[in-house]
Amino acid sequence: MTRKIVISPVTRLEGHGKIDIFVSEEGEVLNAAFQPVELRMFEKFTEGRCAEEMPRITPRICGVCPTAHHMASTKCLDDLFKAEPPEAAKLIRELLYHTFMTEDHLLHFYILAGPDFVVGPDANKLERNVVGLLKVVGKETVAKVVDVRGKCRELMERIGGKVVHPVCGLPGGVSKPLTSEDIEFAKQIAEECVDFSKWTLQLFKEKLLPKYKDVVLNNNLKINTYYMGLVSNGNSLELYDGMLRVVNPDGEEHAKFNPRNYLDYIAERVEPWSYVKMPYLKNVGWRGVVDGKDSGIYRVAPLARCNAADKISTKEAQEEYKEMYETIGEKPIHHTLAFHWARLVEILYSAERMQEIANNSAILSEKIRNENLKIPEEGVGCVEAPRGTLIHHYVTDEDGILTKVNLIVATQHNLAAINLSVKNAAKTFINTPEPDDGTLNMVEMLFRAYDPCLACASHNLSIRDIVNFRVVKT
Amino acid sequence: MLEKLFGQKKQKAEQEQEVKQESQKVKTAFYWATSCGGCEEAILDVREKLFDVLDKIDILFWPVAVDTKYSDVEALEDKLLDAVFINGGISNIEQKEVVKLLRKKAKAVIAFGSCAHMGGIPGLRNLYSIEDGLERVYFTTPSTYNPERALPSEKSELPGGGEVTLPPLLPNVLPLEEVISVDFYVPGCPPLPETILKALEVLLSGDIPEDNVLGAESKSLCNFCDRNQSKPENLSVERYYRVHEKAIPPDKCLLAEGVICLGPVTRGGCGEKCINVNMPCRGCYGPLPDIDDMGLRFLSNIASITCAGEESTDESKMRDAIATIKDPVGTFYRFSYPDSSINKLVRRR
Repeated sequence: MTRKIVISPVTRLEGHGKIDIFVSEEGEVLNAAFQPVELRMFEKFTEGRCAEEMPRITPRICGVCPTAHHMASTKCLDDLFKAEPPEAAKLIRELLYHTFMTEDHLLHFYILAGPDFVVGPDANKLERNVVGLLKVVGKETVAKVVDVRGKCRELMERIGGKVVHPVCGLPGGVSKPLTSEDIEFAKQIAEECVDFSKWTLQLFKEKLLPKYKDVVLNNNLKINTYYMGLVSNGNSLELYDGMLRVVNPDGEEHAKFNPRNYLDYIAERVEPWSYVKMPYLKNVGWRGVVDGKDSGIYRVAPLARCNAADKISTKEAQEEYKEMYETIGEKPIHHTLAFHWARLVEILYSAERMQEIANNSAILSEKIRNENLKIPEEGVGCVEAPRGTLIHHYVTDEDGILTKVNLIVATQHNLAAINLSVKNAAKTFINTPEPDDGTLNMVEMLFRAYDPCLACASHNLSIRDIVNFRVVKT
Repeated sequence: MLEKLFGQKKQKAEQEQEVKQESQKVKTAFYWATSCGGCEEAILDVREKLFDVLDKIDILFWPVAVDTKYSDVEALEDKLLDAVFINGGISNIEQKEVVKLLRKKAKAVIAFGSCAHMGGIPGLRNLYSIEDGLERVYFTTPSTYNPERALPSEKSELPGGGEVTLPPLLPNVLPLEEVISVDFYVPGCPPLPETILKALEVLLSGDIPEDNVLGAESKSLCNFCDRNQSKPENLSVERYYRVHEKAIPPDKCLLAEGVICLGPVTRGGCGEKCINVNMPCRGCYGPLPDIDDMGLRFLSNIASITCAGEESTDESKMRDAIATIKDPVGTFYRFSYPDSSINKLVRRR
């Protein structure tokens, strides 16, 4: 008899999901699946809305990365109304974006994933959380995390109005200029962020990596996929703008394209067992949930971005980037748990970018709106969210009322790979038909490496099979 | 600081002291339904005061941060939880079952944030049928390649074996109070940290306002808005502007300048965050105490201010002015469509 183990809900991630594991009587794992179980319908109910309101609607796809949706949406409006933002507006947006990236990555490392490494993967489940973390590391460290994150969010509020669900983005600009006090505040926070991200990297490399090296570098947990991320000139890692670059499992460039042309490169697959569609590389093709060069499955988010780039443009992050590849000894890195390391390298990059931008005096200009808007028709906006590439695509009538909306969001790209990783982890860690809580948490650790956001992934309406699926009347 | 991470074991006496303190704490649970996680972030934004709160409460269930599962909740005694905070509207069977379970285990249930309170932005999906959405998402979106017209199904076989299930959808997103009885409401998308702290204070003091809405003001946003001074006594608007069409000076009333702003019908207490960066209110703090249907009341406001300066009623002029308002449903009911009289009527049919 096959036994089915259900982990529901999966915890310490954003959104709703469950894991099913099928185990034989001998304790051999036969199969496993990771399913987001929630479903909304942003692509449908945004039809009929005013396009310029999208930066205030789409952040509700995800309250953890609302700034990413706000920005993809705002950039989509630039394209839709054919209005380049003035330099100051672009800098203000980028300052907001890198501040967001810094605090969001920090949140994941310390609050969501950290307890596994610091409290221990098989600690009591009532302790394996931020409260347990507090007991082990003491209030001082946690207070530092809360303080840095809090200051970042204060700056985000000054720029974006609200921190959860910012409102400042307009086609061709932003709604409010910054003052010199804002910039002084930004400079001070940027410096603290640089210091704290270096401290966090040191913590990871000196304390956590040696302790968990065998797990991080376990070959059973490795999957060989393609990787995608935005790059700027010279294939530097980029988060706000640029071209999308894809490398194959050997690290060779597979494609490099303007995000406007995403439909030529990416397609989405519908599977009966998943509410969330799974994107794959169109010209490689869908071969099922398998890895390798012949499978169109690719990964996004920090490790994928590092893999898809050749370098990082800021000095200290570039050194950390080099060290990561030298230590692990391969590029691309296929070890899933190395996502944590790449995430920390990205924090340092974003913190350094905050410094660069805050020191650019052009940011203080009062000219923050391009008022020469053209008749809207169609636009695409793309940014790198903390959890991966975000594509917003809007079509409107000439009044700017949305007629068609398509969204491909961060975690969605990773869903097929997360399923592979969870299956590998179940096969690696489980050897009894009745695994204990600690063992099952080790399986959850593998999806946590992706920092998946199921709120994002389940943005689309997910629908029952017309024949078989029950719609329940209330 | 690094040493602290792998620090010393606690003394036994210290541990016993902790156990004793634990038992006196307020027992809570947090759950999210059809929401975005922004309410969770708002709780973290309470920042250092969070530590004081954590000293006073025990969190027995909170999927975003704590590893207990549904089975752990089922095992709790009925009414063991002093307060359960639920954010998000209810849109599928799993959420419906979980909130019913939590209701059974709770002394008090708090609808937390706009979605639990009124349905929120995901509630705009009630404007369309599920079938319309099906067509769009799984068949006609330009990136979807689905020649076999495959669809997710309640039960299915995984490639490689094993049957898995997905929770069926409800035909509409529902405010929490339409699924279980709700004791208190905390408004906002998301509620501000200040609102959350105020709500907790009110809850602990027992000095509950009559309408059971915690942490927000009972006067409209306009009462707290600095721009309100510039609002003429007799407001008259001849044409409306969308946010990208006109930049409004930072001291001018947005509505008086023709930009749709829901301030007059929305509760204050939100810190006027949107207004502070020159963007109009969209009503996330919910309706004033005497208003049942926010959108309807705002419509009546619009009717009374549009071309109000005219001595004779020139209908064609009014019609032209009203025609400059695009997407009234998605704007006036941005956060409250499932709670509107019109949607309730449609659902009853």
